[in-house]
Order: sequence, then structure tokens, then C-alpha cells
Amino acid sequence: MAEELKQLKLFSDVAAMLAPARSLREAGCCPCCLLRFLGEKDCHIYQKSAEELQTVAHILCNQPQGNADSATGDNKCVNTDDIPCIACLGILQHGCSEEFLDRIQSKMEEECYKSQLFSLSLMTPIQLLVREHAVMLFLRERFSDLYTGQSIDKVTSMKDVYKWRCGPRLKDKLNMEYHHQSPFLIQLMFEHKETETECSFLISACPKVFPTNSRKRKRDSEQTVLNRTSVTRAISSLSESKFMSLVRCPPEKVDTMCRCQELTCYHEAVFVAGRYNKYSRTLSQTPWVVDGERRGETSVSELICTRIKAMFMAQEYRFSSAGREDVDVRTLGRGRPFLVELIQPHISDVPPDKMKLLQQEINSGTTDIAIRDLQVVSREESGKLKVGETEKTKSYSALVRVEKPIQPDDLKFLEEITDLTLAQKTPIRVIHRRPLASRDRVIHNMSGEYIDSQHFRLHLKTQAGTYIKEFVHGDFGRTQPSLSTLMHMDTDILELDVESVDVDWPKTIDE
Amino acid sequence: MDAPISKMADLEGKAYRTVVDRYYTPGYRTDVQGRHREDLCILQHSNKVCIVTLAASHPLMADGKTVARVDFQVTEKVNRLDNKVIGKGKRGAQWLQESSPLCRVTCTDNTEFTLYSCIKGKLVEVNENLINSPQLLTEKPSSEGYIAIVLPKFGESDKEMARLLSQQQYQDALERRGREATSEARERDLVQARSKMEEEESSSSTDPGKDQAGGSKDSGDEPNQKRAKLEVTDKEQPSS
Repeated sequence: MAEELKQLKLFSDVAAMLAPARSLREAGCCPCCLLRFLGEKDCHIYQKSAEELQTVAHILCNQPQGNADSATGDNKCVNTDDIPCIACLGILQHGCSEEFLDRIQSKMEEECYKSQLFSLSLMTPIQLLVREHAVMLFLRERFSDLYTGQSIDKVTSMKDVYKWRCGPRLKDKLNMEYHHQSPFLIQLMFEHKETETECSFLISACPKVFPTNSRKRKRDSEQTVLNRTSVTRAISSLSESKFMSLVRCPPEKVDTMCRCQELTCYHEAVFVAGRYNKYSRTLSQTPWVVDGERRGETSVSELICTRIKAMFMAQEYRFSSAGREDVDVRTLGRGRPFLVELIQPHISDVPPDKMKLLQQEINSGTTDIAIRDLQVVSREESGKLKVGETEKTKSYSALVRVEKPIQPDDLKFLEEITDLTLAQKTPIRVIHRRPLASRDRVIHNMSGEYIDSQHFRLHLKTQAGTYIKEFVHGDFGRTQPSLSTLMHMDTDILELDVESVDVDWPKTIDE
Repeated sequence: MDAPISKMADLEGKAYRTVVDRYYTPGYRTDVQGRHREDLCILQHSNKVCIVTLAASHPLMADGKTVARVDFQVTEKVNRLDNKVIGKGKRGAQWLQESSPLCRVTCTDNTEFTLYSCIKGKLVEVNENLINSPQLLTEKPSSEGYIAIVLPKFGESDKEMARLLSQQQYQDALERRGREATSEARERDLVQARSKMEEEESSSSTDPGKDQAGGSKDSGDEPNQKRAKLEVTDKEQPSS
């Protein structure tokens, strides 16, 4: 033990520690808080077992050359883990027990949370701010030579100690690696009912921090007014003597342990991307509701996302794509890029082969759509989707009906047109929900495939955001020029297909 | 992953319907603002937006007029071209009543017509193409020659359309008008013939039977029957 004592890099004079250690023990501090207030910063010391820490505390309280059975000595110095600590109210005692960690483990198993990484977040009762300050003032008064100039910031924080003590042990129980930047967070919210009102005195003691504007005070309950920031401000606004006159230093002993009132898990959103083909002319992009009534049985988004949401056990999903097509338009070729944002997934780690299976499952479930290149992507990657919507070109094929009979030669002129700029006013079919404006859009090239004297297939490559239907029929002359004006006759569009969406994202997986 | 190409046969199985037929429902207002034969057609899109257009029975079309100018300065203070709308809700739009004028049309023969909204709502836009190409109004009344786009208050579009005549009611109204026109024409002929006869009477004797015969032939039309009766009565009365 002498060796271990040496490891404790506390005050240069080990003997000097005896007095403060004894005082803290007498006041009712647990071994961890004892070490904290003595200035211990080495995480390994805190990771010792509860029994070992007890022994360390004993040694610190007795003479450095203390005998083995001095543990039974001074009764006043005994503070087993059953007596709540005055400084942490049991968070570093019961909160770090096997029993409690087992509880965390069962919750993970119950809710099927699976992640490679995890991190911890502690929410502690605010009265601990008052209590820790009280301990510091007590030490400063009694041992001024050691503690003058030392602020609470120099003391190892309770949350750090908790994470050191529980992190590694949870790692083994949960089979997840601890990482402070983990996307998966376990949040522990502690409360201590017995000392709930210990901060109330601040409201009247610090009128500057809590203005006694009667109207405001009546409206806000104590709970809302007393928060971490306001309490911290209030404490620092009080002089040491004033504080000590209002609060017993060291703080009073308590009978109950802190309780973990809430154990919640948070997982950052996971993003899944891919490309979809649409073969149906009666399928909407997203659920279609008119006047509270559902139109259509399903939608592109539901056909794609339902199974993905199930695989990741997510709470909900958000579907978006690089542009979209109307209900009666097909999407052919390599398909349109899409992104699924999975909110609060319980499972975040899905390997590529499982993704492949998921893709096959989705494709075999319907003939209306087909997906490819399904993959998990990072949040940064997901930004590339919207770039595709506004910047890239699209290619289409439209079935056109003409008013006057045509010959194959009549279509040759289309091939000569390059980079034709259209002025498109907001189409009438969307004018009820979009602002009125005129947009310039470019048609890069076109060609016509003759079918018969009244029909031909128009192929065109356009800038993103071009309204194709309106280009063909002219939308009451509000798209200029239009195919009608170019061919000097009435033209109508019977069918439209998206041939390609020229975006290089997401990465190609399937051939 | 290639999907089959749609067969042409499938499409032509169904009768072809134009853009207007596919997406718009027509509603008519005849004799707008009490003006005889000045008929308009309001096309309502499935999204409830309305387009004001000329009906084929309007004199501008039915009488084969050539439009010289379309003027949107409808009153001293109001010019429809000044209409500015902002945002989805089309804030700042000029508000239209059924009787609000949209434009004034001048023809090459110097006749003028005012075209009215016929429905209540916000004016989204008037067809500015009519300024440079006024002939579109009669050449392409249901497409490039539209008059204006109107957005009725939310939920009220159907109510507005219900106050107009349906396609069938419009046809019936035209038919009625046709019959009235024929009988009016006959009346005119009748009056002309009478005055002619009165002229001749002053010089020679007339056959009283002629008038009666003229009156009784049109048995279906009330006004003529009345007239015939009057004439008979006149004759029966002792001269006063």
C-alpha cells in the first residue's frame, strides 16, 4: 500500500493530506469524493474497485505508517458505501455499482440497441453545485494554507470520475467501445428528492440574478427559474462569508441515495442512400392525401423505406430524392438517387452483405419500383443529394401527339437545336401552391423518333428543374418557346419517361 | 431492368382528350353583365385554379371579328397589368368580383367589348401576350388566347363554379337563343311586311287574311301568338 500511496500524486507532503482527509471523511464524503477534493487527477486510481477505494481512504485518514488493523479504529472515519456521500449524493457510489450497470445492460438488451460505440451523458441534480461549493468553502476555512486559491475547477469533476469508473465496465457488459464522440449516447438522469429544495434560498439571496418582478415570479415556477446557469451565477455572486451564513459548510448528511430517474438512449440519425426506378404510372412519390382521404395504396417512399426502417429498428424515417417525377411518369435507366434518414435507429451497424439482402427483399416485394446501390452513407455525404437536384442534367423521352400530319423529315430540325433557353412561368397545375415567377431553363439537345403521321417520340436532355410537360403543350402559351411554337402546330404530351438523372452519387455498387 | 415500352395500341384504345379536356372543367356565363350574347367560359383546373376564356358564342368569335387591341386599363385607377402577387398565397393581388372588368377589346371595325371576370377571387395574372398578339384571343381562345388566371378563396372555387352554367346548360341556353333569334327574325320580317303593306294600303286595298295567316303559322311562340291575337282584336273592334 505504501507503493500505491506514492502513486497518489497529491500534495507533496503526504502527511499534510491526513488532516483534510479526516475532516472530509468525518463530514461524510465517500472515498471517490475524498480523493477528488484532495486533488487526485489520475483516472486509474478512480477505476479501482469499491473495496480498494475504501482501503485507500482508510489509509489516507490514518497515520501514513498506519497498522493493518487500523481499519477498525476511528469509528468516526467509517463511511461505507451504504451511507450517501454529502458531495455526490451517491452517484459515485451506488451509481457505479454492478447492480446499476446491470440495469443499464438489460435496458439495452430489451430495446435491442446494437452499436459499435457508446458514450455516457450524466444529468446531475443542481443542488450538487451548492453542495460542492459548500465543501470547498469548508476546506478553505479549515485548511487555508492548502486550499486558498484553489477553486472547484481544480477538483476533478464528478462526471469525469463517473465515466472513468463506469466506462470500461459498461464496455464489457454492452460489448461496445467507449468513445466520447460516439453517435450512440446513453443518458442518465439522476434526481435526489430529499435535497430538492436546497437551492431555493438562492432566489431571495441573490435578487440580482433572480429579479423579484412579481409578475414574472408568479408565472415561473421554481423549477424553471433554477437551472444550472442561474444557480452557477448566483453562487459566484455571493461572497464566501455570505454563502457560509446561508449554507452549512460542510453540507448536511443525507439518508437517501441519488436515484436514476430516467435512462434514455439517443442514436444519431443514420443515412441510407441508393437509386430507384419507377415502372408504374399510377404511383405517387410520397403518401397522397386529399382532404383527409388517402389516394392510392402505397407510394415510392413507403415501398422503399418500410423495410429499411424495420432493419435499422428506427423510430421514423425521412425520404428525399434528387428531384421527383409525377405520378404518371416512369423513371428508367440507372434510376434516381434517393436518401433515407433514419431517426433514432436501435441498430446502426449493418454490414454491406446485409444491405444487399435488404435490397433484394425490397425489389422482390413489388414490380412498381426497383432499387440499386443501396448503402449506408455519412451525414456529410448526404449533402450531395440536393446538389444533384439543382445542378445536374436530366434526360427524358416523351410521347408526343401532333395536330397536323407530319413526315419523318419534319423532325430533323430538332437535332439542330442546342442549348435552347426557355422562359417558363410557374405552370398552372402547380400555381395554387407555388409563387408566380418566370424561370429560365435550358434544353441542351433534342431528337425526334417518328412513329406515325400523328405521333413521335421526343428525346431531350435538359437542365434540372425544367417542366417537360409544359414545354411540350405550352401551358397556355406561358412557356416560351414550346414544342408547339417550334413546330407551328398544337402538340400534346401523352406519356413521359425519365431516361436518366445525370448524378454520380451515390457510389455504384451494382453492375 | 428494362421495362416494356408502352404499346401505341393501348393509348389509341381510349379516345384522345386534349389538355383542357383532361385537366379542366368548363363553366359558362352567358349574356355577361346583361349584354346579349357576350358569353365567357371559365376553365377550372383540378387544383381549383380558374382560367377566364372567351366562349365560342361570343360575338368576337361568332361574328368573325378581328381584334386590333386589348387594353388592360379598365378604369381610371385600375390597370390589370399593375397586378403584383407575392408568395404562394398571391398576396397583394387585385381582388375580383363577378362584375370586375378584366380588359377592353377593340376590333378593326371599331366595335368594343369589355370582358369581365364572372367569378370572385384573386387575380393571379392577365395574359400579357394579348398586348403584342391580340389576335390570339379569337384564334386560340382556350389556350394561348386566355384572358386571365383567377384564384378563388380557399375552398370556394367549387361554389363559384356552381354558379355558372354547365356544358349541358350552356348548350341548352345556346339552343334557346337560337330559337329566339329565329322567331325574332321572323318578327322583324313580319313587322317589315306589315309596314310595307301599310304603305301599299294607302295606295291600294289589302287582303286582311294575309296578316292572320302570317300570325297563326308560328304556333309554338307566344309573342307571335299574342301579336296575331292583337291584330285580330284590332280588326274586330269598331274603329275608334
